[in-house]
Amino acid sequence: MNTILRFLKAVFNFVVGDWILLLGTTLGFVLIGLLAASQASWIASPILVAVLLLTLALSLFRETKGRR
Amino acid sequence: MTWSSILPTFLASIVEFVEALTIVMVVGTTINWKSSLLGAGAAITALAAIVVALGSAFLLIPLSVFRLFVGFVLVLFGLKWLKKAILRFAGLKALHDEEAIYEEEAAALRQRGVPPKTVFDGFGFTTSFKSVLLEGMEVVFIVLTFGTSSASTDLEKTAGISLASLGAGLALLLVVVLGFAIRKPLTRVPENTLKFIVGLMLTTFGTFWGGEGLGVEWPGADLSLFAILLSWAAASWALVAFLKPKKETQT
Repeated sequence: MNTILRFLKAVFNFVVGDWILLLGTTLGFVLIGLLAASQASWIASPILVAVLLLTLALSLFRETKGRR
Repeated sequence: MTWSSILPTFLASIVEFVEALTIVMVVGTTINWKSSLLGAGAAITALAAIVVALGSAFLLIPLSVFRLFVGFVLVLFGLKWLKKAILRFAGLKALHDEEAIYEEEAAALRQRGVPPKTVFDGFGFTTSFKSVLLEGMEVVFIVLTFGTSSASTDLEKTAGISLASLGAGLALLLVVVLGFAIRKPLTRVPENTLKFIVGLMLTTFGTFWGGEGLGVEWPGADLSLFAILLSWAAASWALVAFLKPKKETQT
C-alpha cells in the first residue's frame, strides 16, 4: 500500500505537484465536457481558457501568500 | 483522381508537424536535445508499431479520447512551467528553489565529467513523446482519410494512400528543414524567457487538444491556437505585473 501511495505521489509530483492546479484543471475539463455536450458548445472554448487562467491565478496567489 | 490527395494531405500535415516540432524544439532547447529527440523517436516507433498492428483498423481508434488525455496532461505540465516562470519573472522565489537545486546537480555532474545538458530527463522525454505521438496519429488519420476518400477499389485505395503518404512525407521534410534553420537562433534567446515560452506553448496546445477531445468547437479551427496563445501570454504578463510591485513596495 505504501509503495502504491509513494508511486502515486511521485507521479503527481512529476506531472503537476500542486493540488490547486490538478483540481482546477479537472474541474475545468469536466465543466467544459458538460457544456460541449449541451447546445452551448460554442461558448465552451472561452470558458475553458477562463477556468484554467483562474486556476493558475489561484495557485500563484496561494504560493505567494505572505511573501508579496 | 487519387493525385488530388497530395496537396490537402501536404497542407494538413504541415500544420500537425509544425505543432509537434514546436514542442520538440522548445523541450530540446530548454531541457536537452537527447531527451527531446529520444521522446520523438520513441513516439515514431510506437506510432509505426500501432499502424503495422492495426492497419486500416487504425481509423477505429477514438482520437477524441486520446486528444483529451494528452491535452489534460499537457495543460498540467504547462501550468506547472508557467507558474514557475511567472514567479521567476515577478522576482519571487518558489517554495523549493529548483534553480539552485538544478545548479547544484549540474555542478556535481560537471565534477564527475558528465555534461548536464546530455543527462536524460523524464519530463522532456514524456512531453516530446506525447506530442509527437498525438500529432503523428493525426497525420496517419489525414493520410488514410484523404487517401481513401475518392477511391472505390482496393487498387485505388492503395494508390491513394501512397500518394497521400508522399504529401505527408514532403510536409515532414519541409518542417524538419525549417526546424534546423531556426535551431541556432533559438539558442540566443535567454533561458528564462525560453522556459516562459515552453509554459505558454504547453498550456496553449494542451488547452486546444483537451478542448477538441471534449468536443469544443474552436472558432477558426487550428488558427484559434494563436488566440489561445495570446490569451495565455497576456494573462501571464498581467500576473507578473500584479505580483511584482507588491514585492517591490515591501522591500
